[in-house]
Amino acid sequence: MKTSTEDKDSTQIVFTRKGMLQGFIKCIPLGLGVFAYGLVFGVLAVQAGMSPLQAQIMSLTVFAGASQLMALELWATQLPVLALTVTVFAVNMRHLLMGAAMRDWLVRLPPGKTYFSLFFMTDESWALSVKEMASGNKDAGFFLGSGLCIYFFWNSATGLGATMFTLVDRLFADPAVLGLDFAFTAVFIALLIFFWKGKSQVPVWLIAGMVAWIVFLLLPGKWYIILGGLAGGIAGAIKDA
Amino acid sequence: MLESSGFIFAAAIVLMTAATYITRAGGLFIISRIAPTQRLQAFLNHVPASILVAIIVPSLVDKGPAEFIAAGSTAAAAILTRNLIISLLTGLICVSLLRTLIF
Repeated sequence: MKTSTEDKDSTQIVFTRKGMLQGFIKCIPLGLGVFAYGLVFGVLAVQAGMSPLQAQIMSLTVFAGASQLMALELWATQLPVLALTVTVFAVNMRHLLMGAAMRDWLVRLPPGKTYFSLFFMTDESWALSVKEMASGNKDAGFFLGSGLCIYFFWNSATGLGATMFTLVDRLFADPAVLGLDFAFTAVFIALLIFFWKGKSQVPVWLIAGMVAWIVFLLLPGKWYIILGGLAGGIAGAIKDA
Repeated sequence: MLESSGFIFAAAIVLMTAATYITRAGGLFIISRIAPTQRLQAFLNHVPASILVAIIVPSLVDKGPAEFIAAGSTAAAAILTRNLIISLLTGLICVSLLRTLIF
């Protein structure tokens, strides 16, 4: 891509229903993958001692797959509220970096639209949207639409998993059976390919990958994502500026 | 659950929701208040692909030949078709076939 920063600044960012619909539809394949994990969460939540209503409330408000599954590990009759909050925050730290990367779309919108859209940001809808943004789409409605798609699938799956958990448990206890555990890896690989602009990126990607791998081996949770992303960003800043 | 658990549950939900929302909104909140220098712009330009690399690498390192071949096929499909859904389906079909063949 050869657009200069001046060009980007002068272009108008819009936020339309059409863009939202486009984001929603493009995200459906990812939504189906999220659906499978939502079923698993619903089943495990009931097994961990939550009522179906509580599981649903959690998916509607906290709305964070990895964080919610990790919260189940801590779920007990006496809820460790502080530990739950800190765990969820640490697991979701990567979203700080992801939100910042949506700058070109979101700083030009009215704050209401920006901060409403951000509530629905997930790894999946973010990855799709950031690629769309880099491809030159000017409709930031895409970001909200794709987020709402994931929200819809995650919540309907939670409800189904939590209420019909004995049946669902037998069918979907292990998403690996259907190859669905690989679905997200495949999507992220394809999106990464679409980000390819030339060999000069190789050192940046190598640094990001090595840091992520090392952190993955050393630290629990999702620290590898934020630290790998930071390392790559810093390497890129040193390379380019 | 115990009687007081309703209140504790509500408190846990409110705090966890706040924690996730702060991480979602905080990055943009901070970046929109910092002057966009060239170096910051270069940093942000490289973050998306770096995060994708950081997600992909650990999800593959402890896997076997089925996943490696499927990952390669997904990448090849993405290069050839530039289509996300075709690439995803290629990866899924490869991984399910190879898992049944290899194991």
